[in-house]
Amino acid sequence: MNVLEIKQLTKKFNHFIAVDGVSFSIAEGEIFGLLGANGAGKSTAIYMIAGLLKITKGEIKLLGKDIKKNSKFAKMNIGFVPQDIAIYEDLTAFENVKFFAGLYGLRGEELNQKVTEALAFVGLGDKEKSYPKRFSGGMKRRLNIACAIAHKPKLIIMDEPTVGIDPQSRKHILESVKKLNETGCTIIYTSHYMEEVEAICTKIAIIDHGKVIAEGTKEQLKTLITDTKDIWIEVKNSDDIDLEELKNIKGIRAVQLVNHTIQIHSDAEVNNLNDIILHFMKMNIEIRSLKENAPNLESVFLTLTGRNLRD
Amino acid sequence: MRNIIWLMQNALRVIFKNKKNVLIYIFGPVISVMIAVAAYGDWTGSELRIGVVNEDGGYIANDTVSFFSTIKNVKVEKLDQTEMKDKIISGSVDTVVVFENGFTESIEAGNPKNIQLISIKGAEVTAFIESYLYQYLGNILMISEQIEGKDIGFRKIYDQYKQSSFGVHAHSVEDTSKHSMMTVRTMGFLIIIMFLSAGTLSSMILKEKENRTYFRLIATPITSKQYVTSNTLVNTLFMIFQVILTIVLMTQLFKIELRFPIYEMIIVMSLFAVVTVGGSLCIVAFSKTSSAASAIQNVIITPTCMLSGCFFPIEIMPESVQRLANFFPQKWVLETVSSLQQGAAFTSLYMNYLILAAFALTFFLIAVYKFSRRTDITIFK
Repeated sequence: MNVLEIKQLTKKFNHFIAVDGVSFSIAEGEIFGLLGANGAGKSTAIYMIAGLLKITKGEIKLLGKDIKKNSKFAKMNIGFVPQDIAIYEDLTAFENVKFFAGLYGLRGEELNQKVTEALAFVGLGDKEKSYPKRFSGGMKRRLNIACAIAHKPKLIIMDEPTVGIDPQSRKHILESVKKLNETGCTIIYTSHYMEEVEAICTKIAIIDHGKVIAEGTKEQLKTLITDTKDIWIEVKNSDDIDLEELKNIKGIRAVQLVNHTIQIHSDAEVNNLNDIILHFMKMNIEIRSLKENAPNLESVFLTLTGRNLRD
Repeated sequence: MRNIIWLMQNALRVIFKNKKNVLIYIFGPVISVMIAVAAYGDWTGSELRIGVVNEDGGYIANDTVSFFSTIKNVKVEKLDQTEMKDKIISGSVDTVVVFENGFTESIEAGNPKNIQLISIKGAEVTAFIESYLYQYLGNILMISEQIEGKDIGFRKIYDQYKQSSFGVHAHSVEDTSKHSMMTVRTMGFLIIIMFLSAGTLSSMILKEKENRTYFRLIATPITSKQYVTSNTLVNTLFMIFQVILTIVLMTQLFKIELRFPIYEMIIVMSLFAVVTVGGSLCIVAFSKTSSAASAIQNVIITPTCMLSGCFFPIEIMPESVQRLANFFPQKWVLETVSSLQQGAAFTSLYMNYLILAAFALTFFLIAVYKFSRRTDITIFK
């Protein structure tokens, strides 16, 4: 059964088309990753699903019901974790979750119980009476999630829930997402961290210039780029490297420098390894290691969109 | 309605958890009364200081000056034209009565003229002096009316009148004018505090947009209309609370007499509370950020309050400015309070209430229109 069905979803801001005829569906129990660079249209699509933006054209069905006609029903069944931490610093962790859960009609003992459960779920069970102003960034993010899940929604939308936090909190959040999914929740997850999407999402859609350009499981997506290869070259000193010149070598599609490693995305059938090594030798740059990687989501994204996720 | 109450409860919780807010909303009214007392106080004495410029020097002018001296709690100070202005401006006298040359003769002739009453403290002071002056001079004028056409000397009858046992007995005007002035001034300062408080509370909408909680709120089953309604209701509750607190402090602690029923004052000021909430919502509707709202608020509130007579009596301003004040709700609420103090029936001032209600309605309609025109995600849907 599909929890969410989107057909020809379009959003126009005056003459600018932010989302252009997007269609996809999300089955119950999926963790659906929505990938796109800044300005690709993923946030706009999410805001329309969450009921924060009016739909210009198209249709969104949640649990079989059109959300335009059943706005309250849709909001009751969605938990939205915004990218920005949206909590009250002057209220305790418990009061924060209680307030937001109360907006879904919960009251009394049931409300208190669900608030306690939500805080425990995100690992803040012992911080019920603490004020968020004393929390670390990661703890605030977890409280941000607790506020969206206490009412037990069918669909949880998480808009970059791990931005700017420490690795430990990130790990905790990713584990929480998996646990939520195990309890039967369907999740839409967006992130700038490709490895997160690759680690937790069961299905992924890549959105670019307002359109879905690829959709499927990560394995299915990787099969889309069998004609490319990734060569990673670690060098001693990367200061003198001219990346533009490297791109002139036959078959190379994209090049990026990460720390001292040059990541080269190239056509698979072009044998250009000798030319690449020769280029480094000419530039008098010492190569420390060289490896050829199998395609990953990063390279899929790069191939399909022509840019990095964090561009 | 359930969600609106839930939102209101949360807003109150958030406000009261912040000690700074509590100080602002509770001490605001206290400060408004204190400022009025400090600025227009001399409270223990409750003495009305009348300056007299007696250019006429005739017997009636002299007797009238003596009459003022007999009034309990009135202190008379003789002045000349040159020092009169300074004394009024510095506040060392509340009002000045000028008897110009020919005053005595005009009374004898039954056609009083050449007398001026000057004050910068407005009708609260002059009305009472006027009433006693009219009463006193009215008696004397009756003499001239009686002898008209008869061959009897005015002075003779006048002297007999002075000797009679029914001579003038002064009644104390003591606190009445002072109380009236203090009440109006306190309300003036309260109006400013109310506008500032209402602005702060309405700005919570913008602050919640800035810290993104508003964004999260409208992702829940509540609507932006419910959200703005809850803010408006909380705001109105606070304003009415401030009104009641100020009036209680004023009458019970500082013993300032209203001279009309306390509930009438509460009704009038509560009506004005709705105007302040509407006005603040309007400012929020036209502002993109809370700091912009605060700036607009400062630009609008202080000058309009000044021109409407919140800081000092409107009478001292040029007539054109006084006419301009008709466009500000502050002027109408202060006028209503003054009229009630001067004995107007509560119901007779229905036009003032309608004008205040019209201001409130206009502000709310503008705010609703402006909110509904905003389409971007970061503002309102």
